[in-house]
Amino acid sequence: MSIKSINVLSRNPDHYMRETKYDIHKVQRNYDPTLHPFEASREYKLALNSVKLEKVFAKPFVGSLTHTEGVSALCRHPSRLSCVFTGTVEGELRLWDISHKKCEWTVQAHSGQIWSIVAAPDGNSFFTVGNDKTIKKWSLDKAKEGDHDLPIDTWLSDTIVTGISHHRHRNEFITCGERVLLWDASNKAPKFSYDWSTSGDRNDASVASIKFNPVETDLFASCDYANNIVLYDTRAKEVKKLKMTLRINALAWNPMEAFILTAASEDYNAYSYDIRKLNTPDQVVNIHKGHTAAVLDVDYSPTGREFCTASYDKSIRIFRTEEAHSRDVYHTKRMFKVSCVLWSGDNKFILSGSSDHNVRLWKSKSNEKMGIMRARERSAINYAEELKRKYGHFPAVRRIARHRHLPKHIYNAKNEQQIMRESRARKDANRLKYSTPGKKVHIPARQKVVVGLQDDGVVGFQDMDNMPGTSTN
Amino acid sequence: MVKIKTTSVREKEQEDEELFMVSGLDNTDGGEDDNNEEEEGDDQQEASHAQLLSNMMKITKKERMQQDVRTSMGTSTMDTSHLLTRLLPSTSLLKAKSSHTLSLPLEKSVAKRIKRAAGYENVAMEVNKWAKVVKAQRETEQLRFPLKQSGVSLKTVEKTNLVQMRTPLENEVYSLLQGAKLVENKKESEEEMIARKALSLEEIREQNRELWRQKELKRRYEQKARLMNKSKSRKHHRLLRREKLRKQKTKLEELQKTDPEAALECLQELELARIQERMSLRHKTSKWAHLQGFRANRDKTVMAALKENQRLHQELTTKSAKAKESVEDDLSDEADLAKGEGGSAVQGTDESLNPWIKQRGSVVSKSSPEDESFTKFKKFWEEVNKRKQADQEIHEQLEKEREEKNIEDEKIEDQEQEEEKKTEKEGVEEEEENSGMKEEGEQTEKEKEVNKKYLQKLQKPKDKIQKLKRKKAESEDSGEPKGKIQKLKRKKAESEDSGEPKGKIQKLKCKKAEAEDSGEQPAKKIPGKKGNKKCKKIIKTKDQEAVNIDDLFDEVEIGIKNKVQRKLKKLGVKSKEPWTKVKTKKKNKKVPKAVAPSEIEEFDFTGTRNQENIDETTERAKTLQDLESLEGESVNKLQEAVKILKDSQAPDTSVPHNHKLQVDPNKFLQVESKRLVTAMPDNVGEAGEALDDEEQESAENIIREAFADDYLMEEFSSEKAEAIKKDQPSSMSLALPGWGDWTGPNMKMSSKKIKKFRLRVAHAPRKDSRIGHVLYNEKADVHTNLRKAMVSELPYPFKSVKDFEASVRAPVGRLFVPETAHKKMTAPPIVTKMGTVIQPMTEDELLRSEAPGKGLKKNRQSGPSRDRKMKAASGAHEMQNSKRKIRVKKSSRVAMAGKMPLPFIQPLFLAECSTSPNTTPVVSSA
Repeated sequence: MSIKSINVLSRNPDHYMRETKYDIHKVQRNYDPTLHPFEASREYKLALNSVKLEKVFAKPFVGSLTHTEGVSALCRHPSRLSCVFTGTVEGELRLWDISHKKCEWTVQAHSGQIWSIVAAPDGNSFFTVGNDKTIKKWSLDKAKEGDHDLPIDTWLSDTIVTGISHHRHRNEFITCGERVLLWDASNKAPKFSYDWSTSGDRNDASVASIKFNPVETDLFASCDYANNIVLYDTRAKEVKKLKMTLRINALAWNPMEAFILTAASEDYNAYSYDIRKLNTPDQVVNIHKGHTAAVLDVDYSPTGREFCTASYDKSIRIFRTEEAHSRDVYHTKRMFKVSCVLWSGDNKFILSGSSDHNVRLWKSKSNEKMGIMRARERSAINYAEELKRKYGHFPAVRRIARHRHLPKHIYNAKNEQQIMRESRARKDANRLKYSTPGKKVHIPARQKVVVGLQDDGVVGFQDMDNMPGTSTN
Repeated sequence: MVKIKTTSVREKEQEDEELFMVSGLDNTDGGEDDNNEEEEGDDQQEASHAQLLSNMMKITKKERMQQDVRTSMGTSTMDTSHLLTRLLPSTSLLKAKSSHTLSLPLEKSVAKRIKRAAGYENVAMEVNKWAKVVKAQRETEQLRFPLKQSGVSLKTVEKTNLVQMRTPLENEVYSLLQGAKLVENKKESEEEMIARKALSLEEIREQNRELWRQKELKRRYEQKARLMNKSKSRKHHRLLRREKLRKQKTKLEELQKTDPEAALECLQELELARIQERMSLRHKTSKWAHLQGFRANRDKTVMAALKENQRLHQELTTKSAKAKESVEDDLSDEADLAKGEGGSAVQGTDESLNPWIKQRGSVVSKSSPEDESFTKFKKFWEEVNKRKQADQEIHEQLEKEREEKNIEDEKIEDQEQEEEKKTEKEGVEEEEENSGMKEEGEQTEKEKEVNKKYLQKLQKPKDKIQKLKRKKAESEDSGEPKGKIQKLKRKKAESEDSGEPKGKIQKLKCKKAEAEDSGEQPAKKIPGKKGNKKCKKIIKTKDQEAVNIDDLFDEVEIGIKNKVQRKLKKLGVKSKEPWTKVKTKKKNKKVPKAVAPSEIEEFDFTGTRNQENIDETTERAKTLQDLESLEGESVNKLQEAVKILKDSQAPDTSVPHNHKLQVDPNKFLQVESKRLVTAMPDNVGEAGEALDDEEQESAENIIREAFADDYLMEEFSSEKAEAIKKDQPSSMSLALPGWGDWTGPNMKMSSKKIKKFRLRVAHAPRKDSRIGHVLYNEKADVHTNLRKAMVSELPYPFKSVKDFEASVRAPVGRLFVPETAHKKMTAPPIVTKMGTVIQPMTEDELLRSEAPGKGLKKNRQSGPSRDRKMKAASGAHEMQNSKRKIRVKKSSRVAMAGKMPLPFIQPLFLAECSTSPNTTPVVSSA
């Protein structure tokens, strides 16, 4: 008799038993794809559901900060997230605690509109410019104390100053108006004048907006009422001037990509430029379309991946930098012309100041869940995001993801403009088709919007050196 | 090095004479004072110093020179003779001083432009240093914000310390230089600084005011100009227009004096305006004018305006017409002759180039046989024929006698004629060569040239003839009173004389003939339309000239004829006339047979010209010889012309490229649209498509050729037609026999009724209706609903449908993949930290990206890849790489599960490996 060895099914209990009752149940899974024949279809369904849920949870509006006048300027504190300054068209300056939606301080800063507010890099002070031709410096600490309504410093200018931008590190700021002036904060007189009023430019016009490059800190750009975008270097003065077909209202530099400049244009579009390529015909790297009225302001998200625009069409839009169409559009029934927009420092919120006396606070991602999340929730959200991305091209998913409810005026304007665009395109195509070959050439849309470059002998700049007021010959 | 710095600084300061800069000219003084002090130093150092300086000069010639130049611009006068004496051994300085003068400064605007250009170059270069970082950021799988701030901070030092000396020599030199205090940074004293600051505000205000004033003035000026530009005032614009016109006029007048070419251009412009006016009749039939017409009854001013308008119209249409004439004056020298002769106005102008007009002309001439010219022509020929018959009888009598007597004379004259012919032929050949050389482009010029040549040639014989005339006149005058001997002599002389001019005339006639010949020759030489056109033209012009020549010689001939007649009377009919015989013989030789009148009818003969011809002939026909010669000539002409006409028309009727039309167009494949189920990605350029088209077309051609005999196309098309027919809704009618219908066998319902109840099913157009080469089985396609849910176009970053399908098929959920893989695959692209401010990028990032194995790179390698990031990725290559990672990962996952990988994944992986053996696949650590 021999005892046969018998193979018995035996498992290590550690593999399937919980150590404590607080542990999660261990689930054994077999990942063999043949056992999961419907994995793709299940994921598809998950994606469809998650994109629907996205719509369900898309509630971007957080709250509003009420003013007594239309809001014309916004400024965030360089290091404090809750600290925001707002300026109104009547010259009122307010300091807000965003997290509590509370106005901490109010002062009649200027006798006219506050055009722009900018914070000093140290965060202790900030500057305002207004219609009364003054530049005022305010202390944050004193403002926090409450009833202090005098600026700690004042600069006088002979013309209205319409914009201000502060150097990222140095104690210098730059103002624009009829002249572009570089100031040293320690000095009462401007340090330098980028005096293009005497440059003999025939299309001499005052500058609407000016911005220092946050990365390449010696550079700054301005846009003026003569449709120009001018690039300056503090070391080499004015270096390049680009003329567009329509006026540029505001500029913003990409905080992560030093050479990308985005401009809000009067022609309903935003344009992104690569300043390295300003010399070449493809200086416009992207045209961001979507608004149905003039774009008034633009601000980059601190990640440099997105930016938002404020428009006259009572809405704000969020664009991805590499995409031509907006990712999202925000509007409310009572929001009017949006004159300024600001992306918060932590990439979570967007503030928009409009002419209906309100600053509105929006989530930068409409369906984002705020606050602390458990890891499982976090991972579920991540999974949903991934699925949405993966199945984003499928018609059913795409339709839901793309759909936005638009107010009637925007919807109608959009349709109308679509018709106009098509008609123009058709006309162009016909012209191209029926003209003698070689006579008409197709000009890409990105090149159409640029009228010309300075020093390129283009019409707009041709005779700028031969105008009265210049001292040639 | 320090030297250079200081100079450059100074330069900058001087250039920057900007509003708010108080240029410190005093600084230069300070520096030079130091120099002076230094010169009084001890002698011992001097020698070594001089040597050193010379050495330095050798090293840095340029900078030294620059500095010299700069210091000389300083305000204080400085005695540099000491320095010079010291530096004498280095002749280069002397040279420099003698030769080097400051070049003229650039114009302000130009200088600015250059500055700008240079500045921009710098900026672009400097900004480009971020390119790497930006690219890396765009391509990363996951970005975490705020960016890590490294401990290393890059602080720019405002004032760099003095240059570090490396070698002892450098040290020595430097210490010497320092000791000599040749170079020293200027320092603004505190008082100065304070003074500057204290003064500044007032000054600035003033300056500002001044600037503002200037700017305001300029602005007003510009505004005015702009308003002027924008003005919609009609009066203003009218005035402007008038002024412009006046200016143009004066300019034109001036130009006519000074620069006729430019004036010509102006005139051409005017001509253009005239054309436009005539085309549009803008001033005549405008809406405005029409409306004003109604108002004109009541309003005088309107009337005046209308009149003015009309005047303008007239001015526009007529004025430049004059100008045109003046333009053509130059050209019309030769053309005038032709016109005078009644040649068609077509000749000599551009229209002669137009084949249509020519053809039309010829057609018209053909198609109107009953007009005046034709009848005249007919009459003329009837006359001619009659006379011919009469003359021939006389000739026959004469011939025998002539042959016997004048053989010798004939020979001599034959020789002469041949020689002349030769020379003329050469001339003609030359012309032909010329015409051949210049080709079509300069046809009018060619014509001119040819005409000129002919005129010159014609001039010569004309002169000769005139001379002869004179001679004859003399001989006649003197001859009659003299005796018989003289008479005989005269006879001889006359016979000789008359022989000569006749010969000449013959020559000329030959020339005419040859001119026609020459017209023929190129026609023979150059086949095809162009050649024919040319020939036609040439012939036309030559015809005209021939006519001219006729005119010229008519007088001479008449004179000669008279003489001959006189002689004939004297000598009787049987007089010796060697030349006539020769001539006739010649003509007979040339003209083989009489030409049928039917052919002649076809020839182009305009009325006026015909009339003249007839007149001529009536004069000429006084002698038989003349008549004959004329006949021969005209016949020749006609023959040739007919020939040429035929030649020219022949190629028109028989089109050589027609033979291709035999191909039945229905037998071709229709390749209208190329719609694919999955469209190509957007980044495929148009050029590429164009290329594809060409290739496809060529391929199709090849296939078509290869299967030319197989009738595949026809078979296919018939098959398709059948399928379409089958698919069409059946012509079923629901009509039933009932009221009003006859019943019984073989009774048919009314067709009306059948039609009325025919079923009409709305039918969507066939899917292959627009695709010629596809037969689409619609019944087999049952997945229309499914299709709606599928992706119709290939999404952007994917290059092939296979890739996309694979990416969709691979699951990411934790139900299907292990937890770690799931986490990696679903990691969000951007992670931000709650409650922290994200600062803009700093230069730390540059440093980090340059450091190997740090920062973003690692992240990129380990993280899962997505097409979302691929969008940002610039290169297609990298995109493919990242795709590869996906697939590899999938397969690795499958392998890890301990099971056989799916069949659809395996080949993908293999294919990937086989296609790119160089790249090692990265297996994720899942």
